[in-house]
Amino acid sequence: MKERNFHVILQAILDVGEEMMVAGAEIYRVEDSIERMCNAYGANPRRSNVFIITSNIQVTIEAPDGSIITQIRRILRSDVNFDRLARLNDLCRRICATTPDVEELQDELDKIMGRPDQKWSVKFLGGILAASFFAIFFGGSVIDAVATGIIAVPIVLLQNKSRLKNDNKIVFTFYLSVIAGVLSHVMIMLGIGDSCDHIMIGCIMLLIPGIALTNSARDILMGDTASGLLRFADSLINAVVIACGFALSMVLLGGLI
Amino acid sequence: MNEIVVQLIAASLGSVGFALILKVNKKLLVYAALGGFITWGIYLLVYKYFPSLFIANFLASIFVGLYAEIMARAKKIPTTVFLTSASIPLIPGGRLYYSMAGLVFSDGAMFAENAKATLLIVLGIVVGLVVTAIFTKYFYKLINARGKI
Repeated sequence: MKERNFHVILQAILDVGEEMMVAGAEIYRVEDSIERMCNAYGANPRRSNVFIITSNIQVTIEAPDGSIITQIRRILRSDVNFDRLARLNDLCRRICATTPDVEELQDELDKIMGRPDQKWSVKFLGGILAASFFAIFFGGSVIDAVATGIIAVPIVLLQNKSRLKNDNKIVFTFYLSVIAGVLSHVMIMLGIGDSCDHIMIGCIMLLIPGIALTNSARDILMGDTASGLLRFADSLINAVVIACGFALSMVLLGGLI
Repeated sequence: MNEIVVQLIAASLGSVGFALILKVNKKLLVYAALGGFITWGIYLLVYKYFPSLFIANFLASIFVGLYAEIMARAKKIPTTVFLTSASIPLIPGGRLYYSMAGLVFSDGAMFAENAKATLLIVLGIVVGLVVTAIFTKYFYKLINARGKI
């Protein structure tokens, strides 16, 4: 076996782990994957420690040559992409099975990261389907669903294009909720829609952090109490902020209908 | 009866919408629809015989958890991909809205009723997910242990 630089290997492994987190993986899955990859490359399994809390990955391993390596990665991005997650998970499995050279590993990772992003038409379709069918699901009429579908278009546009998103997530969610609430009232004023309540519920479903809630519940159960509680608190705050945003739009415009 | 059909269809198509938002692979969209459909079906069925928000959400969430675990093993794709889109119909967006509306219109009874329901539903979902997570963890541990002997 030829000489391998474990500092570089660990860095590449962390690249994969980081992208998995960004794509929306659960904490325990990423911890498990990083540990498996390290062990596959020959790290001492009894002395490889991986610990993640929400935006911070830290790993210490004992390399086969006896040196002890620690690396920490801070993660501030979030870009949920389950197709990419599935591919990264697949890559992990391949890495564990074949332990490729770092160049090859990086190539494979770049190939996954370089895949074309979802088309705009698909993005809009997703938003419209989700918002309008949940308006119907919670008791709205067909016209309500049409109104909700129309509102979903600017919401999806803002979610993908707005620069505010990466500045402050809470403020961004509040801003989206106010816009969605105001647009719901505007739709009713224009005569599109029967019930403002159901239109707003459809919009709420679009903004609510369902993924964060289910993931945090799973994290807590799998023993990652710290990160689970952090994410749980995060999703609760988000829900409250969404409620406040819609409440503001109701206070401002509710009397006009 | 009509209402049930509408709800089931809306739940499956809404789940597909979320699967698209979460950028699930196109080939897996049908599983999001199926998951959303059966999840809400189980919720409605349980609620008919045990009209308790907690129990209905608890059992439906156990189903989603098992469904996601089984699909994940079958397709070799992370559990969360199936779990997130199929569990969306259980998320109490409507209840959250009506609790907020109760606050805005100073309707204490409306707020209390819906806020309580929101908490019960979230608790039901979370406890259900815990049960499946623990069950599958030990189930696979058991299988692995057997395999090694």
